[in-house]
Amino acid sequence: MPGIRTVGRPMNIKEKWYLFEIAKGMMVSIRHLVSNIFHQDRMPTLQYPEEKRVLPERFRGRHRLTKREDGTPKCVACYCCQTACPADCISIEAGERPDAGEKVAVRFDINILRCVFCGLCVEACPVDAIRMDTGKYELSSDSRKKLIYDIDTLLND
Amino acid sequence: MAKFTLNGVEREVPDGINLIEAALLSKVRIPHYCYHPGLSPEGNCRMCVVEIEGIPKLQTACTTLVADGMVVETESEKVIQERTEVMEFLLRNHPIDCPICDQAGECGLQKYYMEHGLHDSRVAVEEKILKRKRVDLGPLVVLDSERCILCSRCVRFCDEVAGVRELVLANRGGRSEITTFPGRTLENPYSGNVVDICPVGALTSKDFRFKVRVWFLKTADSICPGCERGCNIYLEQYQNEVQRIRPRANPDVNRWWICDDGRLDYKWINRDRLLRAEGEAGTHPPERADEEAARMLKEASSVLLVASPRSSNENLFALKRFRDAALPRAALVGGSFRKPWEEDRILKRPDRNPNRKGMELLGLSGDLEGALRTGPECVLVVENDLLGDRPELADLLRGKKLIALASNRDATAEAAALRIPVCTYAETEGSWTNFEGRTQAFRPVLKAVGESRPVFRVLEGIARALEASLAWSDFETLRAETFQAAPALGGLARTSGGGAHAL
Amino acid sequence: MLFDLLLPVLFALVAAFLPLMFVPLLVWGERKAAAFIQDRTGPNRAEVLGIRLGGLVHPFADVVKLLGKEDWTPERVNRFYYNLGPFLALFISMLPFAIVPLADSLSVGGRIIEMRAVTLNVGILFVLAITSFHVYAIVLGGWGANNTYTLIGGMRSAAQMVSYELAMGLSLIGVLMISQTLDLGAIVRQQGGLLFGFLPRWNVFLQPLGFLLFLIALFAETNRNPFDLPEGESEIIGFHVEYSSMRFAFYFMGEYIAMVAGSAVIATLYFGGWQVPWLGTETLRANALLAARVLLVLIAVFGVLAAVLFRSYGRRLRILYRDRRSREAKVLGAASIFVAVLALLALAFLSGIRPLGAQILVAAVQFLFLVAKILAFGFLFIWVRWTLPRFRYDQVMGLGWKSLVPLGLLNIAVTGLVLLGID
Repeated sequence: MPGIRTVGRPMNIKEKWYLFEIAKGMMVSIRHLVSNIFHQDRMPTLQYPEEKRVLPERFRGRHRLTKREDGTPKCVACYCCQTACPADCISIEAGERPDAGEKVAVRFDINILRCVFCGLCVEACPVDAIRMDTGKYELSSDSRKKLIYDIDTLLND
Repeated sequence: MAKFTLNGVEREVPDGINLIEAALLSKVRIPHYCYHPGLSPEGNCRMCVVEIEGIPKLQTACTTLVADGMVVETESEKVIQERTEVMEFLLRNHPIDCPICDQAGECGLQKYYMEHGLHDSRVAVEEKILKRKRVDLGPLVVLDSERCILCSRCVRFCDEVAGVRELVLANRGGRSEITTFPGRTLENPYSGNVVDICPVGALTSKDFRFKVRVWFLKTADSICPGCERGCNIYLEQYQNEVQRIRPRANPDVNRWWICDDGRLDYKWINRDRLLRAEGEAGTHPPERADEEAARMLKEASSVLLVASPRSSNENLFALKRFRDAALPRAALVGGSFRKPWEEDRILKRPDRNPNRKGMELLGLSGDLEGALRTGPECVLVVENDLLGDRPELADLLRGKKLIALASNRDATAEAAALRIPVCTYAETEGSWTNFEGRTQAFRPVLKAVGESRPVFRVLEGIARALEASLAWSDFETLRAETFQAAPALGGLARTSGGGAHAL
Repeated sequence: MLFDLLLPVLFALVAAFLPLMFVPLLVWGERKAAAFIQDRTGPNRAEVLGIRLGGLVHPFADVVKLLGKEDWTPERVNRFYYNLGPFLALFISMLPFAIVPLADSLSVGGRIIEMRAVTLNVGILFVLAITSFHVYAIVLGGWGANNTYTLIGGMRSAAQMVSYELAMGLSLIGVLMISQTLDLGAIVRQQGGLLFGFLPRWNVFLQPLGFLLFLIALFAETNRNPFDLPEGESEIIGFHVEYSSMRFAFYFMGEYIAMVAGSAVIATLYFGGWQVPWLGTETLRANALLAARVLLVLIAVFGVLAAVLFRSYGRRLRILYRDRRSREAKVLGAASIFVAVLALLALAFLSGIRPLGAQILVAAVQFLFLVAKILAFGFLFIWVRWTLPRFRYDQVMGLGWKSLVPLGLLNIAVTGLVLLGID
């Protein structure tokens, strides 16, 4: 192909026989095996449900919607997060806020099945209404429906 | 003709136009808020200032007519500085509302701030003058005084175009605001246009309020189906539903305006649609529906085909060809019982069918009622809500096999023995000929809803089931054939394709 | 009479079920060894009453899972071939066991009992014939499933097997030239003595090149990595992609049984089969009492050792989980102590062994050595799989035809020359 040059490393006689190289490789793997049998505590594996990794401070977990001091959602349904979302997982429906004449989200669904946890929604939010700082990452469920989080779920996360 | 120099280049433009227009002819855009080509120039926003040689002060381009030998500079340092300062002045009391403002995305302030402002605010949010928000101006319009930049376009529109003096500027200085007279509302039949011409988010549409952000909308050039004027419009779609209609400027037809009835005449496209072909024995897939229709047409001793002045020229022509090819003995009559509405001096025409003229030019008009009285055994109604327009016809149609090609579940479709879904004008290509004989094309903005197909495709299917040859490879072929067969339509009229001239 | 009838049935059952016993063990070994080689812990979750045996319960959980899965037959398959494939895979891979001698023959009441299901004097031919039959299972599965990818997998397998069949046969001829017989029993018995006075007279030392060729060919015949092109999972090509539930399990078990059978054959041909190194049958029988005592002492020592290991393991478990799983170490520790105590008790009460007992004891020891050899080769299979990358298809073919076949011919020539020289 034009522009692509194949650089080959010539093999010497010993390597061409393969057997020595294979033996070398076999020694590597057996070394791991033996040392792991005798030093199981040094293995990097975590026994997951019992042990958990310490999350970094800025770990992006499940979303939450923040509230004002009076308990109402901060979200003003500007659709910025929905616009920024590359996975198209947020769907909002705006409504009138009866008291202050403002816009408010009457529906705010995050389809966590689609979410790629990129955090662009958090970046996009002009009023700090959506955050991903819950540290929750165990998101399995037995039905797809339960994995579409509605506004109440998100507010109480 | 006047010769003038614009940014160092000599241009020749017609006499008697202002500098904004003259510059636009040379593809130079001069920013402006208060100027609108359909309204008298006022020069109050100061955004369009330009430098003219020989005049020490900057001049507003909208109120200056171009003159021979004029030397105009639109991008000089002085002009740019002035614009920046004007932007800062206009934004002095503007609230930080963009997240909740419907105008966001098509807002003149956002646009020019990014192009000419880009300053940091010197005014704290608490220092801004608060004014009335969410003022209910009338049935269609909401006012947010804080966002208003007092360009007075809306006031001039009401005075000059709608011919009613419903809006005024009240109070002085920083507390000036747009308002109606006490106890009165903005209720003229063209009030929706003030939303379009408002360059900021001060006047917003109640109908569109909070529905969808404008940057999600997909737009197509279309024609208003409301009356035989054929106003040019934009159809705007989100999630395969029409969300709003905006006027499309065409100086020969509707200028920059549409009436409020036309503006709201889209809800039927999203509602009560016929999704699948339904017969007496339940729903049919498209091919089965065509075969069923063919069977009914074949078995009937006499057939009447009813064309509609709401169908496109192409569909009407297809129906004509269908009759000739598949059912040569069938009668074909066009017409509508749609009640006319009141004409006004601005845009509205009495006949509420957009293609009456086209139907006549295609030779499809006739005595519809008389044809129905002759007692045909089977009636194929294409895009024509006979029963909805005139419920008394129910007696006349009783005992007749009725096939309806309908987009919606209207009265006729409900009464039909077989109803086949067809696309509305929002989903297909087509053209209508308005009362002046101007044939204008509309383009689809939606994907076909449910199993609906364009009328001519359904007719093709039925013809195939009747073993008649009738097929068009694509829509363009059909259109070409249509215009060839009916030269009186005059071919497609050129449309200006200009925007509503928000800015 | 009854004895004459029952004995073949008994051996047939052993030949059928012995390889099946190995399957869970090897599956577990595969998963665990893979994990340790890759610095993981491997299966350790499945449990019965908190007993997990380091994941040894997993293969049984797998069986339950596979049985519980939907037995799905895709549309438009060739039903006969589709169903025949997995059955053949399992059946054929078990067959070589029928002729592998499990221990030296016993002589009971003047009657010689061969310790194998079928006494064949053309044993090696039978092995070659049967192992190449395995290709049918794969080709039928690949063809019958009516899927392009399974077909590609099946075709690859067929080509590979045909190529390596030749190398395998050629490498064996050296052994045949030395042993002058096709009977596996005779071949094993010939490997009894000593070589140069200190090495067991195993064929591997007489035929090192032949052994290497046979080993490589065996890897290819059993479709194990690095020759696992027929089911290269990274290319999503495989003859069994259209199989589910137990029919998949049949293929799966077939692969492992083929491995076990291959190990048995290679142990028999090159590693002396049931021969205990340096100790012939006669020596063992003569010193049966000593052998029994050594065995019991070893069991006791291992029991105590295991108990110590379980104790330290249990301490870690308690820190980790604090639930019923921490009981596991205690239970297992107690069990191994119990075994050790039993062994010591037996040692204390063991005073003499009758000749028949000696014969049976020796047979058991020899059988254990065969099992140990099979397991060692099983481990080699696993070890190689998790070390080497898969060959490219053309490399497989090139290796088979351009290296193994000429080397096999060379081996025959050298063996022949040496034999001539000795004569």
